[in-house]
Amino acid sequence: MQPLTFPPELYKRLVPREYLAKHLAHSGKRPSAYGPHRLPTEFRDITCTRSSLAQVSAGSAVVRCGATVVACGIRAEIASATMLDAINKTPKGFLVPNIDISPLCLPNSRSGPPDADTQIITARLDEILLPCIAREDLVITVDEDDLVDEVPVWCLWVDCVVLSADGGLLSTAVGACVAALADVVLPSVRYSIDDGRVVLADGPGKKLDLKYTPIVAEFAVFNNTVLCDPTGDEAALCAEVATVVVHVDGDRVRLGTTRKSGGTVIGIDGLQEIQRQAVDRARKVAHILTN
Amino acid sequence: MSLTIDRRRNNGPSSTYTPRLPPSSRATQTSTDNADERSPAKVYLKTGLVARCHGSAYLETRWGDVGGLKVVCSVHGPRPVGGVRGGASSGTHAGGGGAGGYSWTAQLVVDVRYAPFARVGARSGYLRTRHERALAAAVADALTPNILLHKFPKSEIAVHLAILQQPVPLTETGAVAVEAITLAGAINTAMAAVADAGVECRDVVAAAAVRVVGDGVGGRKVLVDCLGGGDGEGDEVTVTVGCMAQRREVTLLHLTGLAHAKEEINIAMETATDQATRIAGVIRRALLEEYSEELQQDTNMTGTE
Repeated sequence: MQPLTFPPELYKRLVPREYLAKHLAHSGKRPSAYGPHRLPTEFRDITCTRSSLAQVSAGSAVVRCGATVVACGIRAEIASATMLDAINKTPKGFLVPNIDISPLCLPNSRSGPPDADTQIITARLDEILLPCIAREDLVITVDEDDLVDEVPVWCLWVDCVVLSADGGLLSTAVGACVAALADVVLPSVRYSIDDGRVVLADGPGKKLDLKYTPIVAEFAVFNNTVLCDPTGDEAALCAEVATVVVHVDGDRVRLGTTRKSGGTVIGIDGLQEIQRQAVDRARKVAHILTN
Repeated sequence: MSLTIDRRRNNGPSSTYTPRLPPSSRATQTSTDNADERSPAKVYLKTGLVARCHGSAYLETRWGDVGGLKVVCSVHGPRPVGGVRGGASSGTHAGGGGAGGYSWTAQLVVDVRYAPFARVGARSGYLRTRHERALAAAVADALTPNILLHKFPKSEIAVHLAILQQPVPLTETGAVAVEAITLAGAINTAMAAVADAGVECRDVVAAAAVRVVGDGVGGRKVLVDCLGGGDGEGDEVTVTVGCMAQRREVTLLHLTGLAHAKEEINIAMETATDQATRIAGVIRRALLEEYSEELQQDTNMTGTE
């Protein structure tokens, strides 16, 4: 076989599918521009820096998974819970996740209103993050009884900014949100009749109590091989994708949502296999993100 | 606010506020994190953090250990006008722009975004504000004379900045200082990213912010990159200078405030230019580190590949 007369990067840009296929056939590993070559079953390493944006945010985290970097900052503000929970008639606080995928990290995107992919990720963040926090905990206790209609509650604005995108956006964003939520310290507050609003009070802040830690694992199928945690280049070549959400609560690990679409390579056994891999991944990662 | 609901995002409750100290106890609030008036902030700069772009840079300006300014910048280009999609980019344009679509020089497009959790005070939303556009225009002004735009006809160089955190002002009037420091930091980050992208430039452009403060009693002091000092008594002058370091040619000058004498302005500008030259050294060192690492890796890889 003739050696290449041009650099491998050019080969990768001209025929990316062949490039990946040949690597997998030859060495069994996936090539990577930003890190070590991985087996199809290996996930990328996750690192997490917390409280880096501490000066203005209630909690923050920057999570890096390979070359994908997502920063999450949480602002804790006061809102009025005028709408009560329909069934229990108890007021609830708010958790509002949002993600911003700007042209900073994806050159082909346009700045402005979020496109379809971003909206899908925002919807998934809603679905994954809202159940893991007890919204009743976010209600601020008021001593006086003259506030009947407007119970003050905390509103946690969870804003993710993607700084570098190389695949795995949903899993890294959820990781950043989870790490930031674990970092949040709600300042001690009280309702002041004189000022007519909630003000800061003396006393230590309160950490949030998450019911469980959700971890997301993503998969893609390339030529009948299931790739764990695909990078951006790999995901662009794969039609069939799968996502598994795992809930970690101390030592207990439970399966959340599993989604699979785009093809038929992953069957019933395949599903159980990727769920097992997701559970292994979740056990390792939950500790890194919340401690 | 309700007129600008964007249904493509999670909007949350329509009005929220940040809890503050009640007015009665505000007198006892003292800032323990006093920035030393004589020493400027420390600037940390690193390039090459963003994947799949031509160049990128991350800058932190720190006073002590807490907080500070954090800016990320990525550069895509020179590339065909309008990006790969061919749609119009909505950043602020500088440089030549032909009406018929053909341009003899490259177009420099700068886009600034504040993260919603970045600004002091209330959380800002996602809509692009006039403030961000003004900042983008200022950064474009500072960089345009430096880049050899005539070498890249029919193309655009897209510079995207994300401001992750702004420093907290220590005094009531410190907001002006914070904006000046943010502008200087944005220019420095953008320059490092443009250089990291290999876009040909004349020189390294760096920027610095300087304030002249003073109460009537103690006389006027010149503070470099400082958040503290000057408790709002007396008139303040804030100067932001962006200059090409080697040539000492000023590409951007923003000056606000009320000066007591003409000499104050001259001294402030000289001080800012000196500080900018120092920061240009930081940018150069960061680029050298990045590229000497790459050279090292290349020589290692030819052996083991």
